Amino acid sequence: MLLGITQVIVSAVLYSAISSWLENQVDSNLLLTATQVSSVLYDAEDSKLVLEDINLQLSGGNIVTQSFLRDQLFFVRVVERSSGAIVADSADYHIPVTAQMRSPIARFDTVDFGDAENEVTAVRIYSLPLSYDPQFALQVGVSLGDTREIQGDMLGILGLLLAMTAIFAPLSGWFLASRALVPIRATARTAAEISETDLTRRLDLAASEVELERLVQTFNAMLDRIEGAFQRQRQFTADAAHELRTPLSIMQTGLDVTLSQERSATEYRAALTAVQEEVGRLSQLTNTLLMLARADSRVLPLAHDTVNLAALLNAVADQFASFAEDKHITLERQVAPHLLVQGDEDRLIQVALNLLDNAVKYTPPGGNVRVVAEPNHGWVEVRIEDSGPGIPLADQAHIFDRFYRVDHARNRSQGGFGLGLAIARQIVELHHGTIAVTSEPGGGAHFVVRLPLHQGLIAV
Amino acid sequence: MRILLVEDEPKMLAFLKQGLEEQRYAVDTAANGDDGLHWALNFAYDVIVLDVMLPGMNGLDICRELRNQHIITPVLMLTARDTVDDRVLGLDCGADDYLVKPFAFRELLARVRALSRRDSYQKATTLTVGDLLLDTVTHTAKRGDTPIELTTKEYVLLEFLMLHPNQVLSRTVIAEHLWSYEYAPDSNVVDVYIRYLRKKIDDDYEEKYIRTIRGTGYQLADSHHP
Repeated sequence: MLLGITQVIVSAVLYSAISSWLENQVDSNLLLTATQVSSVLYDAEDSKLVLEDINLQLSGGNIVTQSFLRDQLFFVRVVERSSGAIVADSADYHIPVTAQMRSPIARFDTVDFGDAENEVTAVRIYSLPLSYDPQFALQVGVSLGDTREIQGDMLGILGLLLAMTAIFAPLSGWFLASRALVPIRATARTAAEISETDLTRRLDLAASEVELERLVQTFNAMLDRIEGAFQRQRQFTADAAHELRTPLSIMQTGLDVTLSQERSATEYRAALTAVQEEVGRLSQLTNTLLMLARADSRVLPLAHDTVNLAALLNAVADQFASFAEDKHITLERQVAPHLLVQGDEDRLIQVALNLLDNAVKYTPPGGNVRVVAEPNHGWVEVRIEDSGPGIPLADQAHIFDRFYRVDHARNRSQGGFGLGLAIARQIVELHHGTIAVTSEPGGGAHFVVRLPLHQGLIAV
Repeated sequence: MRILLVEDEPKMLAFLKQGLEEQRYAVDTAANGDDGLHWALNFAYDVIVLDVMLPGMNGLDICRELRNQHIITPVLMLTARDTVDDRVLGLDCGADDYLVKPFAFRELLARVRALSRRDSYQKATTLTVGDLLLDTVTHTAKRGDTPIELTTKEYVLLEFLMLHPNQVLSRTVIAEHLWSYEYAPDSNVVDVYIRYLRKKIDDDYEEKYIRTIRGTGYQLADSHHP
């Protein structure tokens, strides 16, 4: 549209400029002719207007030299100003002398003249009172027919151009735009087709324009992240399903076999006990999974109490004291007094139990387990270190993953589902803390938990 | 019928073994993958029941290895993984069937029976040789219209013979398929059981189905067979 307005303005300017020029040309030619003729008519010797044979002089000779005027309706005449009588005339038609033309001052006039064929033409007349005999005025006139024609043609051409532009510009604009849109549409189509069932697809970078490159890359990176998240979710679901199914299948097979024939009371008791144990495992697992699910969706109820972490750690360590002794493991403690944190005491106990249980479980007899807790720049740092076989580097990155067990066969005889550390991490992070492990193979595992230190009075 | 059972969960293993033995199968067990493979490669089994998630070598790899070594024993895989991908993977590793936990025990039994019929031309669940009839589901036997009472060992011996009719089976082969490793007797014991069986199915009749092939073994065949 901007183009259209510009064009209209340009056309208008162009038209009026050329139009004016044409009209000025006519006028200046008339002026020139008048000046020439007036000098021809002046008899220098007698200092007067020569009126004899003026018609001859006017029509012949070299007066009319401009070819421009040659084919025009053209006349040169002398008029007596006071009466308006035409004294001499080169043409055989008479354009009336208007009052204005009799003015003592040289002037231009435009008059409409209908000629013999009744065609009306505009005629431009220049009236020049003769300086040497002012009672007479020389008039030079020419039709504006051709001029008008040119003006009309010009208008026509400009109008046509305008119309063409009006049609062509939007067409080409639309064409260019749609060309540019094609890669965008293709990209959008691919993006729409990607669903959670087919997250492996990526947008084709090569097919897109350079302008889209950045967008496509960002989009693909996002798809990578989403695919990763879905993958982890699928893995977790598959693992959870497996863990849930194992106790169920034990119960089912146990009951099926036991009930398939008459048994003694002892046999029934043994079978029912086995089922009972599995029910216990199943319940525990269900609770754990529920907790994880709630923590995931942030609806896990967490208490916000002031917890005496030092007392907590000491109590948990006490719990393991006799067990460690039986296994001939030394249990060292370096727990600083007065360590307070904000949070849920039960859950924090769970974390401590889990870490200490792992430490004692994986340390061979004769080894040692250390529990260290101290303040460190606004944090409480808790380190639980064992002298067991350590954790291989490849496993260290995954050890906090759900259902991850270093022994990949998920051996239940060691107990646990591989969820302990996953829960520990969840709890620690919900308390705005961090948990990490460092381990040298053969040098034991060192777990470090950091929690925000709470400045305040000790809860008694 | 002799079964190899490879399962790492001790309670599951115990119940399955008990259940299968009560159904007259001779059962050898392994609680990890490496042991399982060892058993499978060194002894002849009618069916191998294989858990997928095992410590050591997992069930899929065991199956692949068995097939690579041209062990064609039918394999039934057990697992808690139930996706289509898992099933496809299991079957493509060379397993013959796939059962998802938890399962009804009688379904396991039915599938084991189906697998043991696989290489036999006897596809019916009721085996027939002449007028001798053996129902493998109800574990009953008849000659003509007369029902025959069989002990467990007699039943499994007759079943084995009827699954391989007209074949000459050595004592060793018979013993291998009737007893687990634990209980494996001298192969002479087979002679005694053949005697028991003959008493029940052949003695009172003119046509004898159980034949002794001197120096080789025994054969169960009807009169049409030379």
